[in-house]
Amino acid sequence: MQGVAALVDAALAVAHALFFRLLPAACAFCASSSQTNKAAYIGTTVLLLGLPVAMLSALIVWLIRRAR
Amino acid sequence: MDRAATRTLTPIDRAVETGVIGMTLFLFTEAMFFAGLVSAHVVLRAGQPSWPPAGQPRLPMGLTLANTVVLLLSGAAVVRASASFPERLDAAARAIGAGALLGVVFLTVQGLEWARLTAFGLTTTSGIYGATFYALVVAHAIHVLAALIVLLVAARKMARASREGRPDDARVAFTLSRMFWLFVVGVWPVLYAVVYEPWR
Repeated sequence: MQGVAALVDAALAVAHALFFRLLPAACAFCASSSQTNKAAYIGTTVLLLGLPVAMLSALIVWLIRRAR
Repeated sequence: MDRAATRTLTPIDRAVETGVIGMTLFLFTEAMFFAGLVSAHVVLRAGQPSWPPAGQPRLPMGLTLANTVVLLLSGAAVVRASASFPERLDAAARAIGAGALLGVVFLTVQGLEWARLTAFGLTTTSGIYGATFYALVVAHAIHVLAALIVLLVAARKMARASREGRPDDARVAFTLSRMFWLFVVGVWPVLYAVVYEPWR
């Protein structure tokens, strides 16, 4: 149990170091404090959200058409 | 009586092979895996003041473009196998074999390129440039190797089915290996464009 607790503490410390210091100046959309790569964040967010939706929609439409 | 013949078929079962649906879903997860890697590369690259970073070697664009053509030709060979399958099974198996051979050429050239880049100081630990480069291209090469093994297994099954005059025995292996191979061929031009930026 102590090992698990130590792992959780370590994970929280890493998350804190990575993200919490960025928050005061973060972009509302992507939570990044950097304005230079904001377009990249937005583009990749759209890609990673849109791609699975597009692929699964295409599969469902294809299966429905084939089943008819 | 075998199990497949006795179970009740749904409309989707009748229309599409279960294996094809399984492979499609597997390839969707693979597409998301590469989309994640590409996204990481794009975000990290956008945060750098210059690309490639100072002191890092430039990537061999021309050689890799030629290698891209080799991989696309292997995809064309596999598509050509579809035209012969199942009527001329031996011809289809030969086309699959040719595609696999071109895949081996692609992997060999990739390996030589990495050896050269490593000698020039571009390693996974030399910075964000090397880390993202190797993460993307090595992940793809591992997929090419896996798809190559699947392709060779399918070619072997096709050759055996041809000898025994039972083309249906090789149908699933042929269809699934073709899907996997065309995926790894199709994803490479995207990775080439993202990593090598040939327009720069």
